[in-house]
Amino acid sequence: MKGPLVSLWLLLAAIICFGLFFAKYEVQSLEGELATLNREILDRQGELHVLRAEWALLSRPERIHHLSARYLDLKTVSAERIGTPDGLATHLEAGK
Amino acid sequence: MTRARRHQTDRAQRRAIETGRTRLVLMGTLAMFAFLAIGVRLVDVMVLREGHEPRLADTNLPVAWQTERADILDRNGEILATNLRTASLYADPKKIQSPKQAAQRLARLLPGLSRAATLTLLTSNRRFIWIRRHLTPRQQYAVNALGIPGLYFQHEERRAYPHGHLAAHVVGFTGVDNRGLAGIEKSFDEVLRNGSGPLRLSLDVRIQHILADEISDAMARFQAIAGIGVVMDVTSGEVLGLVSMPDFDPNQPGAAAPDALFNRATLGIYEMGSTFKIFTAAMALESGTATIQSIYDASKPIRVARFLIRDFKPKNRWLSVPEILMYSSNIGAAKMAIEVGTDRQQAYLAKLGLLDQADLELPEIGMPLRPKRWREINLMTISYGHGLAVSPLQLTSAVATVANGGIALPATMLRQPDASKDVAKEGTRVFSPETSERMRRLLRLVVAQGTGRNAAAKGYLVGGKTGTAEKIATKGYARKSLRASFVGAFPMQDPRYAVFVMLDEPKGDKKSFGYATGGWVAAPLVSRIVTRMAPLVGVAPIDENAPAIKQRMFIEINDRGQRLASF
Repeated sequence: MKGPLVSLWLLLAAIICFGLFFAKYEVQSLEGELATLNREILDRQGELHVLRAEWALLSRPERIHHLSARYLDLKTVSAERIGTPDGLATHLEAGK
Repeated sequence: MTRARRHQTDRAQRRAIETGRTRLVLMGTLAMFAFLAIGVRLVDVMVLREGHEPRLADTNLPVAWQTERADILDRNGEILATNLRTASLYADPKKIQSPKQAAQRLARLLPGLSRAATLTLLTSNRRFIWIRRHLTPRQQYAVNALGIPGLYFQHEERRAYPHGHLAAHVVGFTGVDNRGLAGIEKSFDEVLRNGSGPLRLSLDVRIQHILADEISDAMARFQAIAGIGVVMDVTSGEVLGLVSMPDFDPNQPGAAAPDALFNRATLGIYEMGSTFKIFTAAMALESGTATIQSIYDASKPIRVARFLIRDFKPKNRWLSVPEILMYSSNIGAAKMAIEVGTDRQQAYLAKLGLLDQADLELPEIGMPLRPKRWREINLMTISYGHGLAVSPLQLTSAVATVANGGIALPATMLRQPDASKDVAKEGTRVFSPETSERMRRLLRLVVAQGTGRNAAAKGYLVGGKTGTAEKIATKGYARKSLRASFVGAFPMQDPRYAVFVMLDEPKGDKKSFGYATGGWVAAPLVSRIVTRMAPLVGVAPIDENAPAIKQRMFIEINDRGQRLASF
């Protein structure tokens, strides 16, 4: 009666030991992964920052203006070309 | 062994067992209590206090990526100034095996680096020498590829201004150590370094560009030596555009001429000329010394002491208040001012913020130049903008006050929350809404039929006043060197933006019939600026000839009984 009980306890202890050991290593590796991810997030944020600055440089009005003058035939919108929904209705009725 | 003796040993043994048992029970009880206490504590910790698994892992969460100095953004979030990480190259001369070769290779790689100077540095006894600050990524890669031991990189941050010269005078610039030396960079130096997030300005880069583009075009066309432009939201005092030309590139402030660093729009003070007639008319109407119908004798120049007050294009007759503004009569303005009086003129100008330094978030703010003693001659010349010098920003603010219903608002470079656009609550009242309403009609009249005709932008109901001031020469005023300006607001039926432009020493050309006056040089500029910016800021065009609008802008000119509508 005494023998099996002891071996049962020993088995339980061994399982818990192993479980604890396993969990600890699992947590450690996850923590490492988390740290890497956090570092990567920071890196990406830094890259985003540079890209935003670059975008600001590329989309500055002066450059857009220059490019549109060079490649597009656009003119300043005159007031006559801007309408209202009400104006549209009368316009459509006149067209009927 | 005797019986008695055996009995004695027996008793002694029994006593010993008794003692042992008592001790055992005592120890057992103690141990039991100890375990009980631990058990209770375990239950307390595991079941009662934190009955579940912790929801959050206890670990270092990522801190947000931060720069040493916060960004400066425009009102729409466009980056005006930001910090970029760069690598700076330094060397430990002790560890460099062949200084001669290293110096030669580095000089070949980095433009502007002197081989001889580098060699002296590399052979010196110091343990740390800077070779080049802020390398480009490509240069850093190339230096790395050289594989010279003893060369190291230090990560640093550098201020970058993607928009370059566009808002240079507003944003300012920083020194090598990233401390603000001018503009917003200087006035908000602490805030920016505290890392409390980006700073949002009231500036709109699109409007800023339109302003800068038009002014630089006009400067080139009229060969002007300088140009100034201000756009302000009259309902909040927010400055949407502030241009001072010539300007500079804040990325390389060292390369800029001192003249270019000077912020003419806020630090420069100028005698504004006829644009001041707006305030003269407004204070005369407000204080009741004049009505729209009042007429003044402008038939001949006024002679005061050794001065002669004349009109640029004399009408040589009596003029009504609307006519004085329309034809920009100095004589008429001076006569209106005499009725207002010195004290009231000073009081109104003070309330409009034209006598003290402007209250703006920039370190470069000019102090108005006012007469030491306010004599009658000062009263008269100031009525048409001579004898009192103010900054363009102050003038724009004051015109915003006249146009927005009479409320003086402090000008600001920072974006204001939309909720605070309650003009009456924020500012101080200078003119009554009725006076403001009359002034709007008068300003509209100047553009519809007067000297400001060239400022008209179809559909946007621009109103304003031209100004042509003679520059002060060593002796008196110089007739030929002028400052041509226009200040106005739009749309006049419900003003939202005030616009100011000024060109310094423009020369008239064929298209302007040789004129270099505000009406010919500055006014057309405002027309183009308004046409370009109105769709951007959501001002819907209106039909200027619609009866409702005509009626709203109607004003009695009192031109010998003749009634005219201004549109």
